[in-house]
Amino acid sequence: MSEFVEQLALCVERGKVNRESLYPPDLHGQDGTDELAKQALEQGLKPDTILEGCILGMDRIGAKFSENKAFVPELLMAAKAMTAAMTHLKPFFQSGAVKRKGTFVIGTVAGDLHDIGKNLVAMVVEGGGFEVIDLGTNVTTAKFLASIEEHPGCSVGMSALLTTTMVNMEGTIKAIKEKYPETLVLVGGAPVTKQYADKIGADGYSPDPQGAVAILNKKVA
Amino acid sequence: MIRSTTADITEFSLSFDELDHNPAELIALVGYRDGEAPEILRTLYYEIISAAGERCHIRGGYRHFSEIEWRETDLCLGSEKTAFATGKIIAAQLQRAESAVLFACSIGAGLETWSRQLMNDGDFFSGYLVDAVASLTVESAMHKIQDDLEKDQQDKGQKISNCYSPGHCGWLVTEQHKLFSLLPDNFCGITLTDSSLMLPIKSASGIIGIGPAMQRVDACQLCDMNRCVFRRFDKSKQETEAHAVFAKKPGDQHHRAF
Repeated sequence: MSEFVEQLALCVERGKVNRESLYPPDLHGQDGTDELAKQALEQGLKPDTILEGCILGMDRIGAKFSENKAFVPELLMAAKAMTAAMTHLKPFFQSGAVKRKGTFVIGTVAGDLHDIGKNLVAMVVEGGGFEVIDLGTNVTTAKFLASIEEHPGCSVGMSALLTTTMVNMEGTIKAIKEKYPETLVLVGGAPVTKQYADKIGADGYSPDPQGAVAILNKKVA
Repeated sequence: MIRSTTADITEFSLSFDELDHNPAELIALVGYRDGEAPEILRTLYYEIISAAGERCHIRGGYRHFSEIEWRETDLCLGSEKTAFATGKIIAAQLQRAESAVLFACSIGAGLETWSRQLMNDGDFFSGYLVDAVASLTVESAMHKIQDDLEKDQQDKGQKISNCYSPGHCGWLVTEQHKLFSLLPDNFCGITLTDSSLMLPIKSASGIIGIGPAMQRVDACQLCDMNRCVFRRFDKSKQETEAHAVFAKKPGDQHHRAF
């Protein structure tokens, strides 16, 4: 692994966005992901290398989060740092010079307006190297289906926080599987369990964002 | 705190400044033990607190039911004897109640909207913290009202139980509809969706038992929901010795026992 990848991964993991950012205090005054990515491209490093550093950094912080060694604020700061680096990759994503591992459509199911857990998963999955299409909250079956139509070959993630809205996952999964049987569907949220996920026909369940990335890496990437 | 009582309904209006605000609460709520949290959390906490008051519209209240009836484990309230299947855990705690109140509390949609705006602008970190502060604010407001009720009942020689909310300790969240059917329309500005979600989201509701045998206990010791998101924060709270009694994950609807 190159020194650059390691340096960028460290900045992502620690949430170091740019030279001006005060967080984390021990890296104050040092370059962050924004400068590192910019310099890398100027020096002719491959854009893939930047993506590699981002994925590694997010993987590390995601693993810490799963083990309760890091908490949501650190995960969010890491995601912010990742985004700062990824901004420099946008033209390469658009031109196809840098390819993501796949597309992940995510939304909170119909009837539910909670979005923080869903947002966390979206950020970590993006940091895992996937393009994320966030449909927001209160997402109807029709909206999920339309997004799958628009993004052929995508995987789908559904979130719910209430037992009353969790049940809406089943109908949506059924509709997806009827029309797009090959689509991988992951579910999560406070009341959701592995048993419930199996019962409603989901292809995967994870209690944390990193678990979702692990499933996607195994089944899609 | 402005308090008004009409017949069996008591309503409160509170200002944000009347509530207890403590950064240790936020630190514990987002998962840290005291001393381990990044300093930026404290800094942002104070920034958010200084701007949160003008965005809150805090209202709460309860309806007192002087008579309650049990049909096996169902608690029946009101003239139509509306039956609440609170589940075994809550029923065991309320079985010896002589009367009860149904309560609700909301801080309005201001902080929720602010949080969403920040997130939509790409500042998930600040948006998340605003959401967490909003959760703490509902809890704090509810405690003020609960404390007022407790004092009122103490003067009458009575004690109160925990607040038990639909969605926790085995009480189905769908019973929110029954609960709100016994409160005035649009009580505290709260409405329910078909999926029993309270709007504004930063709202709380539940039941409190009253009687000489009632007591406030550690609800997590009662509950058998091992995967409950609140458990982790209760543990964290104990470790940090944060004084406030809360145990929520930001973003969750406020329906727990506390």
